[in-house]
Amino acid sequence: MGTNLFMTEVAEHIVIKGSKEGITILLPVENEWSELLRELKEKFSSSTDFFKNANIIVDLGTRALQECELIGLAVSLQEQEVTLKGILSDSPITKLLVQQQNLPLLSTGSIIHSRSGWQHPVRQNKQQDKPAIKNSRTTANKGSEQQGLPAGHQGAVYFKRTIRSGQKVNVGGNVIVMGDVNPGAEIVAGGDIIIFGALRGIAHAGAGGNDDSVVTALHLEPTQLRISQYIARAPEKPQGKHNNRHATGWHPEIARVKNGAIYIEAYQMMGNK
Amino acid sequence: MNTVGKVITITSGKGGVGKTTATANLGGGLAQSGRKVLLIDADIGLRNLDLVMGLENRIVFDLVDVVEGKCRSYKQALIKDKRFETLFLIPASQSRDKESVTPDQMKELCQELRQEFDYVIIDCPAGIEHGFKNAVAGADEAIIVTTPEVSSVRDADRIVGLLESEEKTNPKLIVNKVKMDMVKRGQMMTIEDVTDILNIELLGIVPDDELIVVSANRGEPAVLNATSKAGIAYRNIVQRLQDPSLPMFTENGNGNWFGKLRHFFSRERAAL
Repeated sequence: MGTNLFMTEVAEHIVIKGSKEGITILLPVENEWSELLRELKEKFSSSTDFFKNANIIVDLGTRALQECELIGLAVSLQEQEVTLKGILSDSPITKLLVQQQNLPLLSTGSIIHSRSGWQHPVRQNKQQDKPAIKNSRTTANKGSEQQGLPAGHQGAVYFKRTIRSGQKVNVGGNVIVMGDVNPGAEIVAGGDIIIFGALRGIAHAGAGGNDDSVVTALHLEPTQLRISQYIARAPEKPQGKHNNRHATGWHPEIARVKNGAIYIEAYQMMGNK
Repeated sequence: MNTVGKVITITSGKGGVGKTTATANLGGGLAQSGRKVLLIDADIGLRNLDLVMGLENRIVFDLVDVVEGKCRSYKQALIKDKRFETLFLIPASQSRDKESVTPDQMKELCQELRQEFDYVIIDCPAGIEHGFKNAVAGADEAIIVTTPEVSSVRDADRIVGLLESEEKTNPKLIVNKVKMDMVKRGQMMTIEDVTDILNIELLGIVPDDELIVVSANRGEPAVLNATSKAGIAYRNIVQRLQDPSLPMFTENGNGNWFGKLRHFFSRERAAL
């Protein structure tokens, strides 16, 4: 490995990318943590000079770490005497842990716009098939391990504004929006999506593979709804009529997966998960 | 006027919704009320503002000449309007393209112009690329023009998002080319349908008016015409721009347009 800092290398699973900011090490969400740490140690020991004087950024993506795992990483980095510039994470759990461990946390700055090139592939994208229409399941591998959040995970990223056309929210945990999600906007969450307003864009809950995730909104009228690996398309609108919420009033609804398809029902407090 | 002027950019995303018309009419209307106004055509390569104002044959220098330093100062590029003493235009170049000007150059220019004029109104080109960035860079405020159609509302929403990320918050809205009979028949989006999605402050509503075509061809902005509905609407917008508490020009159910105080969250759908 030479000293060319602009080379992108793929060592088995971890991805190393050089730039003028330093070296970013991406630890992909879908790989086993212990495996990644092992690779990292190997990489460090085989090219100490390369890493020694560089600023290292570790990108954890949407991975929700446990405390021992994060400590393991920190110890690894310390052993190699690398300068840790910061840790990038889309997961609220991990971010909290990083701060508790007094490690430098970099703001992604891209909570709104997805990081191109670093997008962690969601199950169905790996297959690169066309999304099936209506309430169909994609041909994603069913047997693979479940990513995404444990059931009942607390905490969420909160937006107190309308998400506009062309904006994309990409978060590992839950998302709450106090405002609308306009057509052309997209929310991708590893957990649940709660919209205190009108959902008219695209919402993808349980993006890491969590079939139990839900999408709920005061006015559910998305162009497309996705939960885990399931995709549902909105019914065709009656010609020319724009569904004005002032005319119809708020009808809170919740969408969840049942029997292999996405179901939408009126939101009720009782009996909800 | 000793106070520093305001730079307003008129943008939309979608093409053909009425940005240039709005620029010409707002400029004319403000000059009519005695303000010192400069209009800038930022649609480099596809200039139209000079045509619509009827000033095409008076162009010597244009915006690109100003930023490139071909003329000693912007003052040489100013074209005084035929009708109004206090209305000026800096046209775009027809032979260059939008990359010929940078956002920083626009910021600097606007900084200079603020000292001289009460209002600087920039006609933004359609799109969201370089031309848009140029037009928005030096602006204090933005006015978004849209028509009551799904495609222009969708594009306008994108623009609102982009303006928010450029920290030009609180844009205002003009809904243009409104055809009240189509709205009543349920064939056209209502004003509320539009503000539902865009959720920004409504500056005014301009009805569809055949006179706009005539006035563009003649180079005489509609705001000069006493009876044109669009002209009346633009004059109302000009007043509301300076004093937002004034009533908005709107139409009641009987086809009569009149100024009526409309609150933004009004549920009075019968009024429109």
